[in-house]
Amino acid sequence: MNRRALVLFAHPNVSKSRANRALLEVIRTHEHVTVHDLYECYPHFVIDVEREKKLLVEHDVIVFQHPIYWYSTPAILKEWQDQVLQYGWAFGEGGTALRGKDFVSMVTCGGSTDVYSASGLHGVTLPELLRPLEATARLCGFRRHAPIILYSAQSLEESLLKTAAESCVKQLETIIGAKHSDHADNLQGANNGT
Amino acid sequence: MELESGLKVAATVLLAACVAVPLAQRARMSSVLGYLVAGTLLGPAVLGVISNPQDVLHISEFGVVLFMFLIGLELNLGKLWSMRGQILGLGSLQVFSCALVFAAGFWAVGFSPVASAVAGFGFALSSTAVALQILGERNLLPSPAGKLGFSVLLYQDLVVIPVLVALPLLTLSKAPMVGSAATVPATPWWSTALGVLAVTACIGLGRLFIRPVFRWIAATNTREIFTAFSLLIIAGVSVGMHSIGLSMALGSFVAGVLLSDSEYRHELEAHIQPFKGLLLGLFFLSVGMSIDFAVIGSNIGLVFGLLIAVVLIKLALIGGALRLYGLPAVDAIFTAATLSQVGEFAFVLFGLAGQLGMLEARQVSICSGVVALSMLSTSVLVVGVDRWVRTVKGNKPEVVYDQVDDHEPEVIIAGFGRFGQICARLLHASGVRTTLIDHSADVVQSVRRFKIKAYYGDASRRDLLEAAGIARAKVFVIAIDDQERATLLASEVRQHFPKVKVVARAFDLLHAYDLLDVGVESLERETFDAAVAAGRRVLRELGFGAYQVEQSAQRFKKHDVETMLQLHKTRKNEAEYLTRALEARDEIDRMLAADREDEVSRASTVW
Repeated sequence: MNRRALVLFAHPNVSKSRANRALLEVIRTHEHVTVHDLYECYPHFVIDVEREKKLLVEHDVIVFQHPIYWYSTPAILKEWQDQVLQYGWAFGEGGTALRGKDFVSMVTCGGSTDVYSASGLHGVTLPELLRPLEATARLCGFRRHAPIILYSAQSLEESLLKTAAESCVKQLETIIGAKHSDHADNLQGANNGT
Repeated sequence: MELESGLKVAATVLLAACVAVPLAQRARMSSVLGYLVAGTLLGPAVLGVISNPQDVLHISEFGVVLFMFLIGLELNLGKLWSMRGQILGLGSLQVFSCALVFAAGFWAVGFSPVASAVAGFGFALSSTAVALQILGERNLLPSPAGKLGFSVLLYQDLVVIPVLVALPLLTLSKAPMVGSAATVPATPWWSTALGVLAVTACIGLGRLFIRPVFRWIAATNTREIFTAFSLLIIAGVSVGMHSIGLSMALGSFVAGVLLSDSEYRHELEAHIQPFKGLLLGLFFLSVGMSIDFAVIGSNIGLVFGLLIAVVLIKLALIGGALRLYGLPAVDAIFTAATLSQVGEFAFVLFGLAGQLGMLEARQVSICSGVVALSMLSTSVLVVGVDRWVRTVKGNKPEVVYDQVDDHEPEVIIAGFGRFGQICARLLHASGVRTTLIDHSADVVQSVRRFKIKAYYGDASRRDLLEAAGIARAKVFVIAIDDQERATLLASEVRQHFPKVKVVARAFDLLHAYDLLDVGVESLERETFDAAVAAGRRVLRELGFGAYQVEQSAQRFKKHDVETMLQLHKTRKNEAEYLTRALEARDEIDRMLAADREDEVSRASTVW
């Protein structure tokens, strides 16, 4: 039986995002992937928690797809975590609903690997910035995977952007297709783009 | 009374009320004291303006009847039942302990055993009128102290019935009796049984008939008929009760309880309140008038000795009983002080006992003098205790209300049409205690079918707003659809109840300006949100992203409200208004256009 993936997509203005559009174009060709556009569903930030829980339960791989804004997720994805990942359901006593599912971050950012390095402009790498999400996934009992990162989303040429997006989705396919016995807690960042 | 002397009495009483009560309140005294002092001045002993205080007393006792009716309105059967422990336990504890001590005292100073018993019992009772007026003036009736005090008073009203029935049996004579609010004609046992039946019938029939009749009367939209009908109910029930040998006050109390869960409750309160106030004033006046200074003067030591003894004993015993029922010491002393006087009922009892030959005429005069003076002393004592309580409590909020009921709504909504209903539903769902007022009997009727608390009445009447509890409400919602009346109501509430926040429904921009003019800061134009929502839907249909549409709509609304507030200031100057309005329109166009351009506003969102 095929495993199903839920992409929790958060971009406030997707029509302006080259990178995310490129990713979505490829992702939407996969029938076992559900793309869930949070800004479209909850423009006023009132999250339907029960609906979100149901979606989570129905899928095996949970993907956060979003641009990096101020070293973090867009606001709605934080709100989503605050509302949906409840004590007694996602973690804590009796909170086993998500245990054993896969979690992976799929992010886009404007800068290159150079600026996201210890010696670069930001002084920190992207996988390091994503540590809070990793900790969240760990507490909820997810099997964690190295984040899938599309760098230089602002500057990549159209053809290169397409290749980078395909490479990202390929990594996601690997995780979706992986058997449960594979332990993939390899948290070294994989690079796409430059 | 003849017409002329009746008018003279009326004019005198009204004048006295207009002079004495404001003076008393300026001196931070209870209005009761003002009336009592005015009464002594007007009475035969001083100025002699009114020569026959007994007549006035009889008329004015209807004030006590109205008071009991209003109290009944505040208590429904459920609440009354839940207070039964307090009423019976605390009530009998107070009455019997006081009666026993007083009777022993009278017996010790040489009254006959029967006279001691009668006088002792008479002195044990407190004045419902005085005590409730004081508690009511201070908004203490819903507090634990007020409830306990009321329980005692209610028990006293109940316990006098068997006493009055039993009194003539103590002697074998059949003397004629004084007719008054609390008096009972000689009653054979079967009439008591009849009384019980009557109360039961009242409850059954009242529930069945009074409400449809009220609806019918209300539908005529004639205010004075409503007032007439309200008074008719009370007078009818009282006369009925009296004729079968029950106290009129008790009868009107039962009538009040019967109507307490009716949608007309607040309207009834509003109509009867002024009558009650004036008649009670008259009552206190006549008590003041009836003080016989000649007898007091010749027995001055005895009278004041008795007075001080009675008040101190009552303070100690009632205060102790209240402590037993868990009231904090300070509250117990204050409540005991409000109950420390001897009640108007004692006049009746002593008069009756005098006629029956149980008390000598001199004893009756002295006792009656003490009763009247005790009412006077209460008003003074309460002020003193109140000051003391304030210093003890360190000027903290005077009252801590416990379980709040619908009498103390957080929000009052005037107008329960398509606007008020939606607002009320949100409040209800959020657990906010809300009282609804609507001027259509049909609307109120249909709303009550859904078990929502709604009352019939004209929200623009200040007394109705008061009865609905506006003084203690936090927010007042004006949701009526008549623009002019809404503006009037808003200005009325802003003026008289400045502490209450007003949230108003505006018909359109111009009406919003009117509301702003009278000082309403919080208002909603009734179609504005819906129109913006429709615009939002159109943008969505055209393919705009949900989040963009949300942001645009919110910015648009914010800008529009700000513009409204600015334009409001320039609206008297037409040219300036027009310029400013056009500027504002361009401004929002530019603003939203800028939002559409990434490089201007949200350049960071492109990856």
